[in-house]
Amino acid sequence: MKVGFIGLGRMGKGMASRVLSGGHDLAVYDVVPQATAEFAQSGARVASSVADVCKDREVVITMLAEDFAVHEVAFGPGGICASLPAGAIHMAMGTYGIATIRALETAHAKANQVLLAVPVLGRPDLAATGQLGIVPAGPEEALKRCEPLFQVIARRVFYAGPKPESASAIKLANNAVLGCAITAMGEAFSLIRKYGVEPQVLYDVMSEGLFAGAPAYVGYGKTMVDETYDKVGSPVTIGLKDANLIAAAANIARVPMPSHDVYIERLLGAMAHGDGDRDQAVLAREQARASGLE
Amino acid sequence: MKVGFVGLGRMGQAIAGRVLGAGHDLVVFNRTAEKAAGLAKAGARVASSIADACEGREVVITMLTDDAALREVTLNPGGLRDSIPPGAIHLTMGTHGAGAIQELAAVHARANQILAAAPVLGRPDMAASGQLGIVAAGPADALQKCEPLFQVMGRRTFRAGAKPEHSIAIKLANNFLLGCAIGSMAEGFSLDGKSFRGPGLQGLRQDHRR
Repeated sequence: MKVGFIGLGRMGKGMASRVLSGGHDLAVYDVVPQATAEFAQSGARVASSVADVCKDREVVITMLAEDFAVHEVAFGPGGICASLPAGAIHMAMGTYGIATIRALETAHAKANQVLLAVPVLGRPDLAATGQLGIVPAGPEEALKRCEPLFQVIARRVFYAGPKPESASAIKLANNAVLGCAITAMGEAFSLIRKYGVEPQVLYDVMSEGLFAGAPAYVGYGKTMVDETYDKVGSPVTIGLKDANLIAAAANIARVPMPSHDVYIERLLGAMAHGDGDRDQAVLAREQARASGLE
Repeated sequence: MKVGFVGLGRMGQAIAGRVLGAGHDLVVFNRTAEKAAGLAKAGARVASSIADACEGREVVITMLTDDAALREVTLNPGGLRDSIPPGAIHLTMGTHGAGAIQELAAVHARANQILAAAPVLGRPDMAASGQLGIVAAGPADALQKCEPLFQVMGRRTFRAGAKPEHSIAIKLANNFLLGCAIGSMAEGFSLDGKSFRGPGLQGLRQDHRR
């Protein structure tokens, strides 16, 4: 398949190399030229612009961190909408907001192109080994065409429906559930600490009982017990970025999400106290401050 | 060990059955006497009153549904405070409030008795097969004395600390986490199912199965 790839950050790099090693014809582009160097060596074509990376492609994948970046790359002069051949697919794999996905869908339809939203679940190490979960949504025929790519990128594919925004809804809802779990653990650890109980006891009860085998509890809970907040998986700043997308999605759909609102407040508080670049488990410390513990 | 048991609901019957099955000398009491029938058949003595269930016992276990019942059974005339021997242990296994447990710990201390709290994690079927999780807290020597009982009741004992309220804090925190998980999943399903008209619940359910 003729594939273009825009955005070779920590996640994009791993995913693009999976596409390349799957035997596909790959062109890559990134605003940071050094990011493309290793791809030139392994046989990908390094494009000089967004327009160049779209040339003759059947599919162009974007893996960008922010909504504004995908806006610029898609709608700007020489962007994807202006450059992608008719009938080709834009596969948006970042975590984007509902409004952005709707705008992309409309613009691509006008240009006779197809939008698929395919947000991913997993970290960079899983991306590099093709072990991601992915949540694809969009027209069925386009999803079928992209199946060979899904197979090299992901271990598990969760089809979300024929409308691209459905995939965003799933990804955002999943993040919301995670954020609420982190917030709740922070509250629970503060509660038991105030009664003078060692945090390890709650961790043992959680991780061997109701929450056994649940990565959200086992992983973030451990970080809270060990207070290793400087070993950063997902930082507070990224948590807040996604939480704002969730709040906007909830607003558009008219869904009150009171538990998630508390998560946002704790994220803001952690940032205000200078913990923005630490792991999101640091919300336990933010809660502890609110509880008079530190 | 000489054990008394008060409160033979579904959990209580199953836990008492484990204690009896391990060969301990068991006396049981329940306000509704029929609930003691199975244990009587298996060899437990059925007491005629709470005082009777406490007489000469080293440990009296209560498995009651709420704080009101626990206070009543402990503090009423002829209750545990009046009836268990000095130095004996009142082991509460229900899920009680921190306030009630602090209050009863003080009451028993004044009567030269010991309160330990060991709320359980698990359902009646797990109780019947000795597969419960037990969160135990109280004075170390009292917990040590109860260890043979914990071993026949549970798969795993979590020691939470030296004050009975320590295990209460853990049990409540764990229940709180479950409640928050359920609440936030409901929010997530609403977001997914409401106006995006995708697969609705199905997609998110698959997502969580990972």
